[in-house]
Amino acid sequence: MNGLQLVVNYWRVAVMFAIGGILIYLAIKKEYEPTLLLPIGFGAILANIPGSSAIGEHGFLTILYNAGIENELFPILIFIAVGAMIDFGPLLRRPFMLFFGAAAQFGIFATLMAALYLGRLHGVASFIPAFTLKQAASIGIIGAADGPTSIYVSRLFAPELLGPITVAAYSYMSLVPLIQPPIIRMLTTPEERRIHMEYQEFRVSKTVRVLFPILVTVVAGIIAPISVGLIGSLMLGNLLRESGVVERLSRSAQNELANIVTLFLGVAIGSTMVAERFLQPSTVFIILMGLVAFIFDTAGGVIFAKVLNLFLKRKVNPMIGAAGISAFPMSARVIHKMGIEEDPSNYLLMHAVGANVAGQVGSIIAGAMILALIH
Amino acid sequence: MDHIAEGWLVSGVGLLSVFGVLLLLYFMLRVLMDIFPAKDED
Repeated sequence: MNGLQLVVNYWRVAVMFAIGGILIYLAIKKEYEPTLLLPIGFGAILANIPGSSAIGEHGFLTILYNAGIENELFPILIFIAVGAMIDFGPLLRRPFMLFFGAAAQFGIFATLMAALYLGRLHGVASFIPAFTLKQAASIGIIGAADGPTSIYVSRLFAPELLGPITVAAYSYMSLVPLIQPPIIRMLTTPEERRIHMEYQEFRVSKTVRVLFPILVTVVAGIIAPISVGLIGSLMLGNLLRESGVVERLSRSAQNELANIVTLFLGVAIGSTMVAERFLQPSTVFIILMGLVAFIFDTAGGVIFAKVLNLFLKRKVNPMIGAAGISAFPMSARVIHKMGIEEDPSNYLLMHAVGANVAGQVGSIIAGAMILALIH
Repeated sequence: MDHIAEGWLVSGVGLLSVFGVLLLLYFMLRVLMDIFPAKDED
C-alpha cells in the first residue's frame, strides 16, 4: 500500500469513527432510538478499526451477522417481541382507523418511484446512483417507519444497502416529532386542526382479540405467502399476549427476547457499515430519500383524511391521518400535542393511537406486498 | 419492461393491495365483533 492509499484509508476510517460517534451521541444525549443506535454506532466503530478481529471470517460480528441477519432470523425474532408488546385494542375499538394505516404507507411507494427517477440523472451526473427496482424498493420501505420491516426487505433485496437503510429508518423514526408537525401545518388549516372527534368507550371481547392475530396471518399469508414469516411472527407475539395463558412467554418475548435480539441486531447492523461500502454517494441519497419517505407518509395520511371528509357527515381531524405511520407511539403523541396546542379541549390521543396501531399493521402489509410483487 | 414502468406497476398495485387487504380485514373485523360481542367477563 503506498502513502496516498494509507492516507485515504485512514481518512475513511476517521469519518466512520465520527459517524459511529454521532450515532452514539444521538443515542445517549438525544435519546434517539438508543437501544438500536447505540449498538449500531459502536458496531460501526468496531468494524472500521484497521485489522479489526471483530469482522472477517471468524470475527464475532461476522458470526452474529451470518447467524441472525443473513438468514433474517433477528428481524423475525424482533417481530415476535414487538407483537407481544402491541396492544391492538385501540384499533379493534375503531376498525375504521385501518384505512389511515393504509394511506400513510404512501411514502413507501412514492419514494420507490423517486429513487427510480433519481437514476435517470445518473447520465447527467455520474455520482448520482442509478438504483435498481429492488434497491429502490428497499429505500422506499424506510417509509414503513418500521425498523425490522426495513431490515427484512432490504436484506432480501439490497443487502449492500442494509447499513444506510437501517440507520435512516431508525433515525427518522426518532425524528418524527420534528418531521411531521411542519408537514401537517402546511397541509391543514387551523379550523381543520381544531376538529373534535367524539370518543366512545367500546369494549372488545377476548375472542376477537385472540382471533385478530390469527385472522391477519391467514388473510395476509394466503394473499402473499412470502409474507408469512414477517406477519406470522408479529402475530405470534401478539397471540402470546392476548391468549392470557402463556404470560411467562409473553413477558419473555417483551423483555429478554427483545433486549437480547435488539443488542445482537444493532451491533451486527453496525458491522455492515465498513468504510468502503458505507462512504458512497448512494448513502447520502438513501438518507435524503428516507426523509422524503417520511414526508410523503405524513402527507399521504393527511390528504387521505381530507378527501374522506368530503364524504363523511362526522368529520375526522385530518391530523389523525398522519398518525397512520408505524412509528409508535411517537406519531400519536405528536398529533395529540398538536391538537391540544390548537384547542386545549381537543383530545385526539385515543383516535391517534388507533391510527398509529393501524400503521403498524399497514406497514407490515406494505412490506409483504412489496416482497410479493417484486420477489 | 424498464425499471420506471415496473416501478409504477409495483407502486400502484402495491398501494392498492395494502388498501385492499386492510379493507378486507376491516369487514372481517366488523363481522367478528358482531359474532363475538364483549361480555362482562371481558
